Amino acid sequence: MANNGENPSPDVGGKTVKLKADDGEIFEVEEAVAMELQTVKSFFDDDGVSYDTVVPLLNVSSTALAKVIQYCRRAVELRAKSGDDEGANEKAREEREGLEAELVREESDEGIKELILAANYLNIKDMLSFLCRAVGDRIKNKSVEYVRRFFVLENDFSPEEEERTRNEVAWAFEGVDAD
Amino acid sequence: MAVFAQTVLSSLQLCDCESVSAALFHCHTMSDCLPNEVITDILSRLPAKSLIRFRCVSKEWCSLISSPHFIATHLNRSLSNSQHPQCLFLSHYDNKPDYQDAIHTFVLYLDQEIEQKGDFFAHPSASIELRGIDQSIKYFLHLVGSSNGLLCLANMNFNKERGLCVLWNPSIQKAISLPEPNLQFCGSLNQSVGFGYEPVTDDYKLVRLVYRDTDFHAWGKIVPPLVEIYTLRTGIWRSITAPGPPYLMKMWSSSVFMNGAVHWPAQAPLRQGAFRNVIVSFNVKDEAFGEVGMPKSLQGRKDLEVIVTLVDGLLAFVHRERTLLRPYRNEFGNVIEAVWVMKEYGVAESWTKLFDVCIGRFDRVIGFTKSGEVLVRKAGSGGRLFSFGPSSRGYLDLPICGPEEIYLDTYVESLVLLNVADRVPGRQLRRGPRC
Repeated sequence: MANNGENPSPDVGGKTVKLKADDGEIFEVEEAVAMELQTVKSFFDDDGVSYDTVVPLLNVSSTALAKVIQYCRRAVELRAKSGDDEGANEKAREEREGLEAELVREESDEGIKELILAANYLNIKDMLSFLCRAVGDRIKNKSVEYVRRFFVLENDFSPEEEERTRNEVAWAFEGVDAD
Repeated sequence: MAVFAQTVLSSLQLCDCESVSAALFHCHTMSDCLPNEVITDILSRLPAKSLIRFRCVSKEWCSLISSPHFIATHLNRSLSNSQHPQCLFLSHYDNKPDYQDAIHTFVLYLDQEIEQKGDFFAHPSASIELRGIDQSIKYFLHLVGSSNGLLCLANMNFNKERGLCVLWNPSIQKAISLPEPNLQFCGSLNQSVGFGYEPVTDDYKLVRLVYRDTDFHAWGKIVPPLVEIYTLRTGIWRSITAPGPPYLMKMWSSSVFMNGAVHWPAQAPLRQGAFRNVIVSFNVKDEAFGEVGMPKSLQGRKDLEVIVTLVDGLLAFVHRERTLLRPYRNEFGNVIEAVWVMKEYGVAESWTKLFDVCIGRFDRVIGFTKSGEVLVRKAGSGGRLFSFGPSSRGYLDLPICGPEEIYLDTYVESLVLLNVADRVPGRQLRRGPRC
């Protein structure tokens, strides 16, 4: 059983949940953090499922799951900090934005897509939201070819059709980042 | 490969089969595929220019981006952004010397410094020019109104066989011309128009009130205007058979759209030739006229000029009375009495005076800036703009060459009009005098 440095120490109070990534690696996380993953929450909402059961997350790689857990852990901490105080809320919001920026900054396109798939499968709304925003920012000034590569899409337009559309909206092709 | 197969199998068990298969159809490997809902989410956050370009990515993306559902999703996200820059719509001539050769341009400038107060239009963005309309038309286009990023522009001569009316979405650089209206005005009042959005049918409507009779001065009697409506979905004008509202509106009266209705200042007849000042409303969903009361103190005032506007989304008006000569202030001519705002819609008692101001002669109220100042165009000073508010006043010189006509509005990014077929003006428009 793998036990990476992020797991809580054995004598920490409170329940933990075990999550298994696609390669079999097991992550032990605090219950509050695990419940951020709606998919995991639904898993335990079923009658008769004990908290000792290992949750199989067959669609999520261990790298992605580690990052997801790290993000959710910080998000839970930040949410606990904010309350009625405007100032505290503002600070928490800024910290969360910093956390999100940090998560995506070093990620390759493949890495971000993997995280999106994980956040989508695990049903973590806030994380999926900022990841989509981050991808949007990445691609908004890019060329059509770049986008096709990023999303791995086939061009099914004929050369004539594509030429015609490009001419009709030439203005939309101005100022695009070079590939 | 075995791991891949296992991943595919387990995903089929745990996920929605349909979305997985749909996603797989276009991708090479499972790990590359983002589900359609995720792609829609990502795309709905993009600016209009990117989306117009990305229609070329694939046929599926083209039909997704042009779909009414996506256009609505994108619009909702755009509207929920709290910051919408103000924009100035200008219509002016280039190459003035010879009228016949002058190129008429209609341009939108965006205010990029949307967070800084007091720096109104210090940094206008690159302009967006209205394209796709006949440049030989020498009419000035006035801004009738805007909704969801769609601007309605018309010239005052817009009538049967004359003039021009256009719906323009600057974020996708697409404009369509409206067909000829059915009703023809005559007499000095001619017409007033209003533009608004109806969410239940997701439709944009232009309402046109046409006066045909100049005998409105008969004691207590007003010949109501005829009313017709253009809707984007049908693409045609349709007359309203119910009698028009029994009000008197000045020619090309100011209008605002809020709370689902277009509003114009008007006068309702009382006995013996007297009039009561009111604000007429036209609900675009029910297509019915109503009335919003004005502050009691102003209802009976004669020669009251009222310009309706919006202040922070609330119904407001600027009213002025003519020819108040105040020698001790060395000011004369038109004087703005006050700016009023209706804090609670429909509740006449909630009319609140924002501020009293006196300034010299001015042509027109352009609008309210984000910092709550009224922007007007001064008469006789080369059409310079002047802004004044409770605590500040002064000339506003924009780094934009002097336009003939100028309007202030709020800019919203949207894809509205994207899936509407291009409509080329089919009729020959007569060259006419500038209006």
